Amino acid sequence: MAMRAGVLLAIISIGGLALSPVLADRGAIPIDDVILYQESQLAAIAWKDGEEILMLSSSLGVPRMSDIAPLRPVNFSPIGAEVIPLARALEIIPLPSMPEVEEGSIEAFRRLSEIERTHAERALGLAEGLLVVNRDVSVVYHEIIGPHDVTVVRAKDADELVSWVIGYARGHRLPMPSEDSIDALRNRVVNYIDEEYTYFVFDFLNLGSSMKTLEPLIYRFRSDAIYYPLRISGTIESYSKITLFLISEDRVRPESIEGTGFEITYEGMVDLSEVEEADERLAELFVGQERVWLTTLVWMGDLRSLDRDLNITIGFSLERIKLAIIRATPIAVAFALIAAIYVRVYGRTSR
Amino acid sequence: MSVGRIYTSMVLLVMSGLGLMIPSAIILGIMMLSPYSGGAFLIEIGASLYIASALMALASIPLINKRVTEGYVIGILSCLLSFSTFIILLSLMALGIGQYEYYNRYYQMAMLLLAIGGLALLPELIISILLTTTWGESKGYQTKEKAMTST
Repeated sequence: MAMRAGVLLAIISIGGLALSPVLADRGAIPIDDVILYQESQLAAIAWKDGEEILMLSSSLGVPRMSDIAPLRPVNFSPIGAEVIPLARALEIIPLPSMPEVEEGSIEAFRRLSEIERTHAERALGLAEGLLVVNRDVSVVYHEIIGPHDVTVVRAKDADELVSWVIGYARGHRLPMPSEDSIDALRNRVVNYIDEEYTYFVFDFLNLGSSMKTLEPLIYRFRSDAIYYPLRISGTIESYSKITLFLISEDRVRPESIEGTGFEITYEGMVDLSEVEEADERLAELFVGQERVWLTTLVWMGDLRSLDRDLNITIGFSLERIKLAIIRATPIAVAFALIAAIYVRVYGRTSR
Repeated sequence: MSVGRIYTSMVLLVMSGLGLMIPSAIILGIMMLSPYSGGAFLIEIGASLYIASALMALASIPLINKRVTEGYVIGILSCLLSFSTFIILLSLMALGIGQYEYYNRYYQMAMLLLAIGGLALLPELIISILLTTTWGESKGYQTKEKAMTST
């Protein structure tokens, strides 16, 4: 163990400590000696009766080395002409239950965005690497889906999961991830495992040398609420934008997103057929319904500030009534005052 | 002379009442119709307060016409409410409170609210002066009327 740590330290010193630990959103550790940054993340989530379909895509890139200044927040432009021979990363997403994974389509986001825009306008005028399998980590699924090399792992211990990652890198003849990355991963994973999020989806990516919006993957799993993992990316030094399209049978409760920094930018009912046009898998859960709620959530900021996952609930909300009451209060008070004065004045004159 | 001042204040009350009411009602209506406007909560409250102020201004006119003291009270209260709403909105904007909520789509509405509140300031000041200077006469008028009805 001590020897492994020594080897890691040696690799890190060669790799250059000026490079910050990197986690692109939904959690990623760089395999090669590069910094990843994430421009944006798009997700469409359909949820009904404890079943969630999550379609997730992110735009990952590698900045020019000349852009990197120590102690400066990472906020680069996408890559230019400078050639970075290899920029590979391992993305991680923790899930509460065993997922089924399949390929999605980036076109779905464009369609959903189009639906939102149309409706808003109408309203307004919104594993190959199965080398390490031990008692606490088991690979339960592995498949190559398009550009994604997906491995679903079940882990009950953070250290074992980290060992699995190191073994995975070794098995693929990849350089070791930096110790900072490994530590960041361990710190994040511990909390998830403590909260019984034991399924981790690893996606091995070869980013090459340009900004890429990756074809989304679809994860289908059981969850008590609309779940979207954010903490896993909490140590990234980058500003990013996350856009979530939620499809549900009822309205999102505003209290369930309170304090997360997400803002509801659109909320409205749309025809299920429109969702089907975007991606029929997202509409599968709502068979028999004609209309569903489409809610768009947007978050912008420093990914390091993400310290909790989204667990969104739907249904009746006191918050909405409270807003309506507060909005109507000044007008109601004015009416009451006017009525009282008129009654008083005309009562007096009639006497 | 006092009749002139009273009629001037009534005309100004109509102007400021309608001037505040129409844009604020449009803004509030749009907010209520828009699919989700929870983020622009402060704008809604501002519009709602302006509507309340406008209602009071318009409601005070028949009472002022009758020289009823309560009419003067609502008229002056309306001016004070509108003025304080403007100051609150301006302070929030200047301090950057809620600016995240205003961003992009609601920014113009916030600006419009500030503009109408600002434009209404001068008429409100004139109304307040006119109403306070004629207040005493209204009291006299009422006493005279009371005496007449008792005889």
